[in-house]
Amino acid sequence: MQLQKIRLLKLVTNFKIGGTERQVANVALRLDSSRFELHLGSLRRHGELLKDLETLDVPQPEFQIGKFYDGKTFLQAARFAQYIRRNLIQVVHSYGFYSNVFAVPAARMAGRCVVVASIRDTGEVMTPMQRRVQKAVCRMADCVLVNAEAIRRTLIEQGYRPETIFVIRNGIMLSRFAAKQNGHLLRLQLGLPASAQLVAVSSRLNRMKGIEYFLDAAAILAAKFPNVAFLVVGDGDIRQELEDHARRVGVGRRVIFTGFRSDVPELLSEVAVSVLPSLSEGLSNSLLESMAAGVPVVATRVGGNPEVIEDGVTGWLVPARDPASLAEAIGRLLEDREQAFRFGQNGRRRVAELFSIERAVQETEKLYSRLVEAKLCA
Amino acid sequence: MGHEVRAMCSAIVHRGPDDEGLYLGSGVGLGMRRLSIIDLDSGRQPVRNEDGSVWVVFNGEIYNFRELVIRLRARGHRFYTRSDTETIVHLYEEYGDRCVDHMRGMFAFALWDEKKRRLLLARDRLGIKPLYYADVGGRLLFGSEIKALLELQEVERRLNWDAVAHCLSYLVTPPNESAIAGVHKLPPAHLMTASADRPPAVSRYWDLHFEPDYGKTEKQFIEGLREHLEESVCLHLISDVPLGAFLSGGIDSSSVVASAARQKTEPLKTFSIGFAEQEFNELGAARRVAEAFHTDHHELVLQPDILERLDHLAWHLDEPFGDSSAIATYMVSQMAAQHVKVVLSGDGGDELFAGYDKYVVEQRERSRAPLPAPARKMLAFISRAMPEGMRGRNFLRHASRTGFERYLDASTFFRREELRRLFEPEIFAMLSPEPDPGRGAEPDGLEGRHWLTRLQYLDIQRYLPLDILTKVDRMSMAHSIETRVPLLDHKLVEFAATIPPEMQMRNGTTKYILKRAMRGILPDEIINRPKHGFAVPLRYWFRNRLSNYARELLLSAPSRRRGVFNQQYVEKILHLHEKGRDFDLQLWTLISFELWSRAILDRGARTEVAA
Repeated sequence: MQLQKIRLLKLVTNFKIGGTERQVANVALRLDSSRFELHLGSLRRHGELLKDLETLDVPQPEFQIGKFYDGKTFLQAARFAQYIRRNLIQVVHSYGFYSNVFAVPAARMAGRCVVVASIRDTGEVMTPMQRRVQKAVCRMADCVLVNAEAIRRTLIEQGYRPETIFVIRNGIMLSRFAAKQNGHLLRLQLGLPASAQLVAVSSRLNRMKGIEYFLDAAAILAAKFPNVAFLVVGDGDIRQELEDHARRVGVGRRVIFTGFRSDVPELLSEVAVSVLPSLSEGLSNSLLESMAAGVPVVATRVGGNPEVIEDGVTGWLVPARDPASLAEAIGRLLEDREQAFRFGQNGRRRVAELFSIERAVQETEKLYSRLVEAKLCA
Repeated sequence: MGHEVRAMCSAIVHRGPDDEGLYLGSGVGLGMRRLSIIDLDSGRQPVRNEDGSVWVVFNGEIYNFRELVIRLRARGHRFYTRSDTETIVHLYEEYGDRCVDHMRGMFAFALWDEKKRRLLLARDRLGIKPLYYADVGGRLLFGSEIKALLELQEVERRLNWDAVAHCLSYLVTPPNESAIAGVHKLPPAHLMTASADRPPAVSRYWDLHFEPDYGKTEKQFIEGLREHLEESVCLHLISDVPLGAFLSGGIDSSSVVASAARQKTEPLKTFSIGFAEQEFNELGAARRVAEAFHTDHHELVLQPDILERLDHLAWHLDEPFGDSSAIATYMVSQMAAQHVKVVLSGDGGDELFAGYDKYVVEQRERSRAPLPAPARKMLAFISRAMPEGMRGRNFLRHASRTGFERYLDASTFFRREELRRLFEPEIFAMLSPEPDPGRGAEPDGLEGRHWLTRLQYLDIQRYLPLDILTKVDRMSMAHSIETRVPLLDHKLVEFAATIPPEMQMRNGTTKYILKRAMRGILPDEIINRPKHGFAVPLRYWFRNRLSNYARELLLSAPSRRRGVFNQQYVEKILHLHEKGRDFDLQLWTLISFELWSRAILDRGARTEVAA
């Protein structure tokens, strides 16, 4: 029996590089086109990821909104609702605070489509007002999709209805992290001796990431491990501040700020220990990528990190804001290379088991189908 | 109506040899066979409220009844017995149908509200105690066992063929139905209400929500588990009659025994069963635990010939039942009945704490990259084209599936195409069209949750009540003893549902948190042993000493006359098994169908059971 395709409209804020945007792009590229007719909308159609989406031949409408609550936004909302009706969209799925606030009420007004809102962080950086708005908006949605149990739990604590919250974890492309690269060249580029061991943080540089605790841990480890270089991979608002901090605690020469790099898989294949010192976290792609590359990880016990790392099996979990524990865990993995190797292998297996992109796509497709079916029966 | 209720009661005398009680009102009758355990003297049932307007008959135990009595007395209720049963009527007066929310324990009860002329049936959250009903001829009939319902004219001994097919595929009949057409199970955690002017309505009053708490450390879970286990076992020790425990040598029953032995002053009586076959013999491990906790230990070694002495097994089971470990439970209950009236058992631990080897297998399969869809379709096609019994056929079919479907496939015995050959064509034609293998199984709202969580939920919904708990209740009641399952205290169960899946099973170690919690309490060798359970070595028996038994039974004249199964096909399975392929579970299911047909269908339900 050939079923009719499900008409689906996804809406993201933009296509800049970020965990959410990348996930949307990866799922969009793999969605079964024989079962889904995809429309990939955005509030602002620009960003680096558009390049990856060139091969995706689907409508990509843009709904440019100005400030919230000005006339333009309402006009766009009406356009959005009209788009849904005209294209007989059955599922509207929006990602992130701004998209949710824009799309969910508009889609609800447009009629009998299923509305899915995605929340992908624990909302630490939101104002209380924003949190209230998000909750009110999500109440209108049929389903709130999150990517970590930790987020589900936070939302339930904030009073969301548990039965409407679904968890689908991020998926990554394992094959991108397969081969060992030319490590010699990488070290040459960074100005390091061929024998240097690398300990790395790969993350956007903002206050929630707790990078300064990593720098403090580096200061503790520096003398004991003269052969180790500490890398901070990524860019962000507080880069200068962090560089100053590194100098202040005496590791200015031992820490390398590489800035943003597009060769993360290659770089990771050379890393001895990967670190994520966040103060708050959803489901970190950086952790998944490290594990996929077979690198043992050390991360703080916050947000979705304990769901990614199996403590003592694929890495170590340590308390947040605790440089001494962080240093101890990193040191242990630097000393016990056998354990480090085992953690790395376990991590790779775990990513394959739970975080493959194939699984994420399959679960997403199934969720859409079920929601549409439930709507039809209702 | 009185004689009908009495007849129903007499069919289940084994469930309560100590006493009988009846309530007869206009248009309603409640009957009860009592096994006296708490309040031996005044706890006669049916039990009523203060003014005799609410009546209840009750099978089970309410472990928090002392606390409830205090609370209810404070609210002005007067008690005329010292039994747990009486709390039900007063809870009902206070909370109506929500009375069940306050009860901690195992229960199946029927409560009659005279003023409202309304019946309330309820079954405990996890399905420890059974409850069957039939809505026929304008009457609602109910009872703890199907045989009670079969006492009445309107319940015909007609087979529900879909349920029989389900049993052949999954070893048990479906969640809401039974092998007898028109007789239904009230599912666990459900209520049924009925009155003269309204058709019976079934509703769920509780569900298990898996909400893993990732904020807690391993240590916090270990301590929490110890506390919950200690508390539950403490409550399960409440009894006015001698109490013992089944001990298999596995970690679940050993944990229960450890906790019980430490809380009791006199030595606990423990019971184990073993087989001559070394691979199935657990007696050594059980003895080790018995010694460690100074229990008064009893053992029994089973030989293949017990199968020929199990005439009543099928009658007690009420339905065809494919899990052969019922044999072991039957025998260990028989032994325990000579010493005690109540036994503790470790059932539920595998579901709660992720103890099944199938979970490890599933994890391994998941960490492999899935085959692309076209390749899977190809494999499925090839496997269908291969002849039955050809090596590699099952493997290919298995490889062609993914995720949940594959997991279900792995626990399916006779598949649809095999059923087609097994049944005589006219029987097969009566089956409903291909039922979706996972119909109602894939739990809604669990999409995207951790795969282990989903499998545990599935097993708690289906395997636990339909197989494990049915077996334990029926086999112990056959010998008039009560089994209690402290691991299935709902508070403990709800706690276990907060343990993140990666801690439940860690690094390929099943029951990781339970094992850590028991370290230092149980001997290390018990914790480190691979999983066993009371498995019966039918695989060997059917190949050696019992091959004739199976052959004669399945190809017997009565079986042939029944005309249900294709004899050539049955013979082929027997042959393949003798030649070394394992079909022991399939054979046992067929045998259990034959034995059950003889016990229930051919003879009628009223079979006197020699004690």
